[in-house]
Amino acid sequence: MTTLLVFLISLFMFIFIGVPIFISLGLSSLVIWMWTFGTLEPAILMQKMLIGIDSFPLMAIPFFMLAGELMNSGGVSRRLVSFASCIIGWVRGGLGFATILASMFIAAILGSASASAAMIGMVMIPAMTEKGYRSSFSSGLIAAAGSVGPIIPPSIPLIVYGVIAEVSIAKLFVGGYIPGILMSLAFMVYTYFHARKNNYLAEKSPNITEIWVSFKDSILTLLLPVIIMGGILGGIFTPTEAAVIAVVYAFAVGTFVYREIQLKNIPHIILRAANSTAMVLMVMSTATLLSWVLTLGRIPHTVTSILYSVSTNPFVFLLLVNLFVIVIGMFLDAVSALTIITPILLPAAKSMGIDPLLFGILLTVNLSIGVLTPPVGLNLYVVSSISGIDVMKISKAVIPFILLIILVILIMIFFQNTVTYLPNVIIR
Amino acid sequence: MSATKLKIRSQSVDSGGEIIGMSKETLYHRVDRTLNRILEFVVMILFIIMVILVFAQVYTRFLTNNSLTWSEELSRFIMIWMVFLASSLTYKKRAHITVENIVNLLSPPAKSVARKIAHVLMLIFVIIIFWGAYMILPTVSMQKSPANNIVMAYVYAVIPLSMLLIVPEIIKGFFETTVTKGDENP
Repeated sequence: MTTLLVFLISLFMFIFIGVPIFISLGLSSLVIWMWTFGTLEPAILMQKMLIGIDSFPLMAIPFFMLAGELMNSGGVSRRLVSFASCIIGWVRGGLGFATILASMFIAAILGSASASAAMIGMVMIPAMTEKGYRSSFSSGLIAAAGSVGPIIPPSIPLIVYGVIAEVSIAKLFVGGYIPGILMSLAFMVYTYFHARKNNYLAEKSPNITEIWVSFKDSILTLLLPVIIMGGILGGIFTPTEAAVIAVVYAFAVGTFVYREIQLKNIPHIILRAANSTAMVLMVMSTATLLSWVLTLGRIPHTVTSILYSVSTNPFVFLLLVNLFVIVIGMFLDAVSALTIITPILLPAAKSMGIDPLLFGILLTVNLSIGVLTPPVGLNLYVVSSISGIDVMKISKAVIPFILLIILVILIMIFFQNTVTYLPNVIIR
Repeated sequence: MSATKLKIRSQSVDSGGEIIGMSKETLYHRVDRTLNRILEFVVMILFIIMVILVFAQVYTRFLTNNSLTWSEELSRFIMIWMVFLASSLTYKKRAHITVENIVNLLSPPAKSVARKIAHVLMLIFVIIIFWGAYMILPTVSMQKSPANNIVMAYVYAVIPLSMLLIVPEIIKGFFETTVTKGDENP
C-alpha cells in the first residue's frame, strides 16, 4: 500500500514538475526500487531501457510514422476529401459528413489523432466557412473526427498496448474497426440534426463522371489501408512488415505517380518521422523498466485487492476504470497513459475475466477523448491554429462529441461483442 | 504522435541554426550545429537502412520462400541506435512528451524554481545512466548477439552516448530559467 503511494506521488511529482515523461518513468522506477530493496541498481535501468525497445513488433511504429509523413501532403487530403464529398456530400450538412468520412479514410492510413485533424482541417475549415457553417461547429467536428485516428487501424497506441499487454496486434487492429465506425456514425447522426437545426444545405449531387474522376484520383491512396490490413488479416505479413510495405508504397506513389514528394524533402520527412518515433519509443523504453519494477513491488497485486474490496463486478470495474482514465487522459497523451495504466490495471481486469483485447481497445477509445479536452487536448490546438478560433470556444463545441464517445464506450462495455466479435471471427 | 506540433517545432529549430549565425556565432554554437547535422545524417541513414532491411526480408520471403535469418536482429539493433540518437535531437527541440500545463500555472518565481528542480532531476537521471553504463559495459562486451555475433556492448553504448549528447542542453536549460526569471520580473 505504501509502495503504491510512493509510486503515485513520485511519478506525478516528476511529471507535473516538467520532467519529460520518459525520464519521469525511469526516475520513479528507481525510487520504487530503492523503496522496496534499499539499493540502487543503475545497470538494470540500462538493461531494461534497451530491452524495452528491442522488439520487432515495435518497429511497426517508426514505419507507420514514416508512411504517415510520406502521405502527409496537401494533395492526399484534398483527394480524399473530394472523394468523400462525392460519396456523401449530397445529404443535408454534406460537408460535415464528408469531413467525418475523410477523417475515417485518413485514420486508416495514419495512426495518430492530431495529424488527421491537421490534414482534414487545412482543407475543410476554409470550405465549411465558405458554405456558412458555424465556425465553432466545424472546428469542433474536425477535432472530434480526428480523434478516430488511433482507433481505426493502423494505430500507434494499439501497437504500444499490444506489446505491453502481450496481445496480438493484428487482433487489436481488427477490434478497432467497429468502435471507430460507431464513433463516426454517432458523429454523423449529430451532424445531421445540427445541420437540420441550422439549415445547412446539401452539396449538389455529383454525376457519374465526377464520381469516377474523384475515385480514380484517390484510389491509389485508398489502396494503402487495403494492402496493410489485407496483408495482416490474410496472414501474409506481420504488422511490422505491413508497415514497411506501407512505407515503400507511399514513397513510390508519392514520388512517381502523384509527384508530390520531392527528393530534396526526403531528409526532412525522415527526420520528422524519427522525431515522432523517438517521442513514443523513449517512453516505451523506460516504461518497460517501470512495469517490471511495479511487478516486483507487487503494486498490481495491491491495486487488484483494493479494487476487489470495492466491487467484484466487471461492469462496475470497467466503469470506474473509464472514469479514472478520462481524468488521466486530460493530462497525459495516449501512449504515456497506456504505458502507466496497462501494467497496473490489466492484472485486475484479467482476474475479473475481462478480455485483454477489449480492455486495450476501451482504454484507447477512452484516451482518444484526451485530445479533445483542455488543458492538453492536442486536437483543440491543432484546429485552433488552422481556424484561428479560440481554444476555449472549440473545447465547448466538442462537448457533444465527447458525450457521444462516452456513449460508444458504454456500448462497448455493455455489449462487449461489438469489440471482440470481429477479431475472433477473422483471426484465429 | 503530434505531427503538427512537431512540424512547428522542427521548423523553428531548423531555421534556428541560421538565426544564431546572425548575431554572434560562438564556438559552442558552431560545434553544436555541426554535431546536429551529423546526428541528423546518421539518424536518416539508419532509418533508411532499417526500411531496406525489413523490406528485403519480406521480399526474399516471397521470392525464395525462406526468410533472411540475420536481418531481423540487425534491424532491431539499428532501430535501437536510431531511436536513442533521434531522442537527443528530440530533446534539443524540446519535443519530448512533457506535461507543461501544471508548471505554467505557477507564479514566475515558483515556475523558475520548478524548472530548476526538473533539470536537476534530468541530470540525476543522466548520471545514473552513466553509472549504469560503467557497470554494465564490461559485462556486455563479452556477450554476443545470437544471430549476428555482434558484441552487445556496441548496442548498449548508444544509451550513454545519447545521454551524453543532451548534457549540455540540460545544463543550458537549467541556467536559462534564471534568464527568463529576470525577464519576467523586471
